[in-house]
Amino acid sequence: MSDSLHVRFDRIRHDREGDWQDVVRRANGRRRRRRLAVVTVLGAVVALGAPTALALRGAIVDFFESEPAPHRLVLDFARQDVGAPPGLDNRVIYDQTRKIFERKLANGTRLTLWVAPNRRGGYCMALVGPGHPGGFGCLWEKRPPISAGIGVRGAISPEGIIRSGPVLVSGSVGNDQAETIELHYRDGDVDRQALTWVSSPIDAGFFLFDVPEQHWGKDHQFDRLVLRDADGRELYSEAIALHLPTAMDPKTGAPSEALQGQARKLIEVPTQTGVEAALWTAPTSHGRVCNWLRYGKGGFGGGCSPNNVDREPLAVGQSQGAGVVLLWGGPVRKDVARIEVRFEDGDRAAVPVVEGMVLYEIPPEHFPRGHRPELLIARNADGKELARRRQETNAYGAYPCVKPVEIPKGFGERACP
Amino acid sequence: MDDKARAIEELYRARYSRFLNTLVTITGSWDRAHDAVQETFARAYAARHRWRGDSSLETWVWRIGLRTALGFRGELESAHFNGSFDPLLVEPKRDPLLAEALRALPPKRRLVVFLRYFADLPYAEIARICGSSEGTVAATLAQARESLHETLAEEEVR
Repeated sequence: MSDSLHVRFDRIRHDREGDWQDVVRRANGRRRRRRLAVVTVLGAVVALGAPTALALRGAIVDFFESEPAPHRLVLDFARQDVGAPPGLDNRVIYDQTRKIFERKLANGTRLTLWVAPNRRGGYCMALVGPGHPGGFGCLWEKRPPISAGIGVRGAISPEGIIRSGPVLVSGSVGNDQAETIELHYRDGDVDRQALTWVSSPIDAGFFLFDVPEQHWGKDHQFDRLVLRDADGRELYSEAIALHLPTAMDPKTGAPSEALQGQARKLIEVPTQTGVEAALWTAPTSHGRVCNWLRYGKGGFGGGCSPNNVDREPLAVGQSQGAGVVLLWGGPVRKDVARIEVRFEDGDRAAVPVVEGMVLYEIPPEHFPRGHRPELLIARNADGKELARRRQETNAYGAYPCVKPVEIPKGFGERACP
Repeated sequence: MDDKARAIEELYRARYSRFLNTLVTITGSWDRAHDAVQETFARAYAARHRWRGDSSLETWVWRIGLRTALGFRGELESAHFNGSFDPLLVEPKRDPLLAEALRALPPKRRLVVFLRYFADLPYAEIARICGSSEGTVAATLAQARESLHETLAEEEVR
């Protein structure tokens, strides 16, 4: 090895670590694919005598043989990670986005499922069609038996009644023995379909149910997903329920189930924009507590929860409006008396907890990088630390600014640095 | 886990970077190269019972690796070593002189150079992977070094 070219190549060589578990997962996926291919061929022969028994044999998609996504869709996949905080980005391998299947819905719309692997060991997917911009979702390394999402594309009444569809239940399956998936309804009806299995690096089965109109009503909605193997044996089931968004009173921003006659203002903050931010609370008629945030005449959101659920000590988040950033949330754990905010420049602030709720305006001098909140510490009444959480400080778009900039590798997207 | 599975895992853990650095010259991107390495070892792992031991395990996996990487370029998975391919340094800016010198070599000779200097494979292994003789590999490498030496001019390559 006296050859000096070795030295030269060593200098440009990358030393990285692999992921053996990913290799094994891909290998198992390959074996499964071969097994299914054999079963499908045998099935075709047997089907001559028993056509109905094999009616639900699923398709198998060889990922790298599948149709690549058009450029605009590749860009859509690429943009999903733009500005995401490090550690929370999906690391989608967007240039490998491929078509998995196309389905025609009852209303005539054609939807296509596109999937791309990610460098988290999982994959990202989007269901795209006319008037259907596509809910984008990603799974990281762990593949749960079922990962399902519900989409209501039509109108929902203030009372939470679905007025128009489509209503879709879609997602992926990680149980590699599963051949079919069933959607069970409260009235006993069952919809059944074969999974579309996709080869490595995806190694998952995909499904899409277009829920018929007779199952939009409350007593007829779906309540369970069931996986079955090739012999019809149940492998796994899990509950699934349609949680319609909490309707809000358009005047007060209060959740519709809040008893507004008993509403109280818990915390008010006169922000530096001149607009008041306030956290409100009210009970419901059935033992829950609602909290909601108002900013001037508008609402930032809110919700209702049972009084006795387990709380997180730092169940707070950040919301941004024009020229204002609010740290707010709750209810936090009952023993938390205050939350200490530590800033990158050494400043500190103590935020009191009022009946479990928190509201704090992050001062504008702490918007620029180098001055932002970097650490939250929950303390009890004696000042003892109960929990701490690091805050992301370098994400694009998290704080207001005068001049948005183009995000690095952001495909032309602009945001505040 | 059987002996062959264990051997493949050991090879993967010991050689991941060498496979990555070599296959990226074919796939053209680190993401695809990583996928190619993962897929290579997945194929080897799934088909390990077909490895009869008539070549070393590493040679067998390297053959799968080159075919897989060529497949990732959109070429036929059965693409042969003599088929069309154009392995290149994926980050030429890290050593522009070397990148330029390599570009002047014929693709096949370039691949032998990469197998020698990125994969650290001995002549005999390279010969088995490429389906040629050890003497041919030695001659190819000698010609490649000579050519690199000329192009790199003042650089000492011997």
